[in-house]
Amino acid sequence: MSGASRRRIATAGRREPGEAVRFAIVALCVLGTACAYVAFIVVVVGGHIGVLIGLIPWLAATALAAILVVTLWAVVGASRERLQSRRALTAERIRVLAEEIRSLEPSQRAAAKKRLIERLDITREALSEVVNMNPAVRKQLVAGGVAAWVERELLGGGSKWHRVNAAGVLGLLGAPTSVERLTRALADPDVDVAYASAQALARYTSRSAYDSLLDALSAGTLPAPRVAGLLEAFQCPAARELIERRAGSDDPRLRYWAAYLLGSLADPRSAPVVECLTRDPDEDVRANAAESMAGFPDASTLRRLLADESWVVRSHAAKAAGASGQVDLAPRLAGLLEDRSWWVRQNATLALAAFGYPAVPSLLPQLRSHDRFARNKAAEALVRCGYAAEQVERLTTAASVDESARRFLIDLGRAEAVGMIEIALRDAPTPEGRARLTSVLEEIAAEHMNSPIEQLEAIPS
Amino acid sequence: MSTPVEILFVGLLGYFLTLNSLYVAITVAALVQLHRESGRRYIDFERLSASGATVPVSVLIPAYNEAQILGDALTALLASDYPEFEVIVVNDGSTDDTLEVAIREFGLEPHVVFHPAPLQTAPVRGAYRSRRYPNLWLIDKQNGGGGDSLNAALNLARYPIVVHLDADCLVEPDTLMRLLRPMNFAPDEVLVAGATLRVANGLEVSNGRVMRESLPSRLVERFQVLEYLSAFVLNRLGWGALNAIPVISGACGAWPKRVLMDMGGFSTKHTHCDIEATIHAHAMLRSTGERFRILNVPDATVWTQVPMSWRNLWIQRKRWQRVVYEMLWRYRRLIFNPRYGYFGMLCMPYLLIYEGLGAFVESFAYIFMLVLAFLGMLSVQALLLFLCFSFGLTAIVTVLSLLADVLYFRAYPRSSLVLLAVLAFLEPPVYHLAQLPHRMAALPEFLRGQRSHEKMVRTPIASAAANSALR
Repeated sequence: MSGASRRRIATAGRREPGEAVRFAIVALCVLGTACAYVAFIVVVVGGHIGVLIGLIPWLAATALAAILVVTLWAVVGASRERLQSRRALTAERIRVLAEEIRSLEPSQRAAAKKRLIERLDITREALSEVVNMNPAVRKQLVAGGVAAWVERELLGGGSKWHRVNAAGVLGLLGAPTSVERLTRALADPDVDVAYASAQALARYTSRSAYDSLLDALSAGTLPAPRVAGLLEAFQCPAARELIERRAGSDDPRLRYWAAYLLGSLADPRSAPVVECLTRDPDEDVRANAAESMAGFPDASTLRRLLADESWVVRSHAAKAAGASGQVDLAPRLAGLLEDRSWWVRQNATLALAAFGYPAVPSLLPQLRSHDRFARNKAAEALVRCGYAAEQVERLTTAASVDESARRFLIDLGRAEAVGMIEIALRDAPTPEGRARLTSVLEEIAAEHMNSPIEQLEAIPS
Repeated sequence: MSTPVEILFVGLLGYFLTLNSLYVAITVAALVQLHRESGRRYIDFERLSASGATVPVSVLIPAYNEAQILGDALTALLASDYPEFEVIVVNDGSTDDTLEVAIREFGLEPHVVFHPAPLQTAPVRGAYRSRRYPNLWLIDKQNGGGGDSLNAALNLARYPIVVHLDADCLVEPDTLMRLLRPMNFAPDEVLVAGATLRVANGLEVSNGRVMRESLPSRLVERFQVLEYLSAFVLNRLGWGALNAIPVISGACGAWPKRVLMDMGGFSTKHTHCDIEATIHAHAMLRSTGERFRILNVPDATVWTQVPMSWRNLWIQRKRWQRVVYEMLWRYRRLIFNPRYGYFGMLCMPYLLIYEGLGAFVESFAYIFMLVLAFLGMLSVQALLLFLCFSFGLTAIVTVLSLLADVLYFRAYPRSSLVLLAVLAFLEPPVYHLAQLPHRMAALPEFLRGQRSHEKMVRTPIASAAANSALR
């Protein structure tokens, strides 16, 4: 990791204790300048230009103050090293607190509480270090009631960043009792607080936390892809069961994400549910379910999806077919090279290329398709899977002209993949090979084909 | 002072006053924005970068004679922590060995590529795909300019968001993730996002990674460090808070592909396609009434090379100034047009009065004041007052940018901060003043219809640092 990244990551989410003071100084400088401007305007309008001269000392003082602030910060300000030592101090305090919390006097508890929640950003960073090194600290702190203190901050009236950090601390503490509070915070009108709460919940492994996040997928306060991103990494034993329950929801958004998450889990036990989702009336749900089928290879379902009325579904099904390696779908995919949608053609091409040689018999007829794009895509798949290169090799190295290879390359040229032949010509090892390839190119040219690697016009809609 | 002279004096003071008031207003808006953004760094980018539910992105890199530096830039980009992205490099008819270097260093091999090409471009000669990096493509085409290259890449781009990146720029591993954070957290909004540019000269780079930030050695480069800080850390952020950013730098910006296609791609008729695209987007999206935001992401860092000599700097600035005239003429209907909100009522007038005419007014003002002082018609105090308003306040705004950078990003080592603070006060009377003749010279070029884009001499960033160290 680069120095710059390390630094930015090291400082992420943390502001130093003196920052507010420095920010105030900056704000005062700016406000002071603005006041000077107002004064200037008043003076000019009033016609007393001589008064302006009086502003010089002020401006000079502002300039000097600005230099002074920078210099002070640079020389004696909170450096990274000082910050680290302060955090270490806080981390040490947390360790000590965890050990002693249950035996503290009420006044000592109040003081400890104040210290911990006053700067939750520092507490959060320090706690992260402590918990990583000694997970037992978490239990001690929770048993001592620290989670309850922080929960009040989360749902209290503090600044949004204070509440964001409260959510972060709760995520680190992992107290089961905090799930309910964090769940409530998911509905916070401030998206930052809501997302921080979602991040905190994602640190749990409990069923209730997972359930709350699943509900957040359709709540609308958080962007669903971000919640889904958290759920993907969530290690919950009950995940499959809870997602499958959403697969039967009336809300298409929940079914959509259920299809996505079941694909991520790829648990074979979910196959019937995913198959059911492929019949969903909502095309987006079907599309996600189709892509998830990559994890549950079922040729008959994929074949049905490849013929779906929606191009989105066909496109995702083609992708899944390629990923699942269902070679017997090659003829169906080759047919999709003539699809009206570019994405369907493209994904079918990629899938066929991924199949490799077993797809060649299905692709060769498409090289002579009446559809220019189908020819293009078939050629692309044949080049991608290495078949075209093999034919070039056969033509250029065989003792006599291999007519089938020659015919294939002419068809490839007709499909506007002539550039590949030109490059082969440039790299051909023997004069004889070059002559054969030249002859292929001449024949293509004689048929008044388009120029090499011509860009294609827009897809017919 | 006689009355007409006094009126002129006050008028010129008023000019600098309003200019600096605007800067202060933008600075305040930027500081507020920065303070808000700083807390948002709680986001767990590592987990985000592992999620499949992030918006996939196509990164487009036009390259013309970039053999020296393309390798570093691509290595850095390909090491990005982002779940799904493709990189499309366009060799825009380079006359050096850009193509050969790319083929050699990244294992590119010819690849037949078929794709719809709704945007007309200069003829494409071929396409290549990397054996080592499946997400790396290269299009080799005849020379057509930066906009044309971006359009060729747009034709091939598969994903709904495209990021354009200059070939001389270095990204950090998390730049893409940070730049695309707004899109990932508001997937239904139309968003255009620009990265924060910093000066790459003087960096220590190893294998495409920035190992150590340090100031470059030359004065001209150091002034540009300050200038970029001022432009990106506060200025761009402030305009962004008003949704009136005049330009998403061509060095790095993220766009919804749909918006670019609706605009007919990047302009090939103008010297710089980035500012044209940004103003075009403002005009188009405001006309259609679509809700959109054009913003700058302060923590998405991109390191870019800046001119290493005064001569190259003047050439660049003259070109930039010419671009301002091109845009003012092309989008004159937006100026003082309330239909375009802050952009029409504040940003475009700012471009006209302070960027377009600024060089002339300022030059006149300095000469006028000197003549008055020489003739004894201006007291020393009045001259000082003028200098305070013209130079002093600009310097303070620059120092504030430096402060903001120190507080929120700490991109530069502490040892260089004092030097930068001192340079901030030298920048207006030295660096800014010296640019004025070259900026003025842009007007005749514009009127003659010149649209050329002179290529800056590049050196590999790592060796640039080594060179700096030797001097």
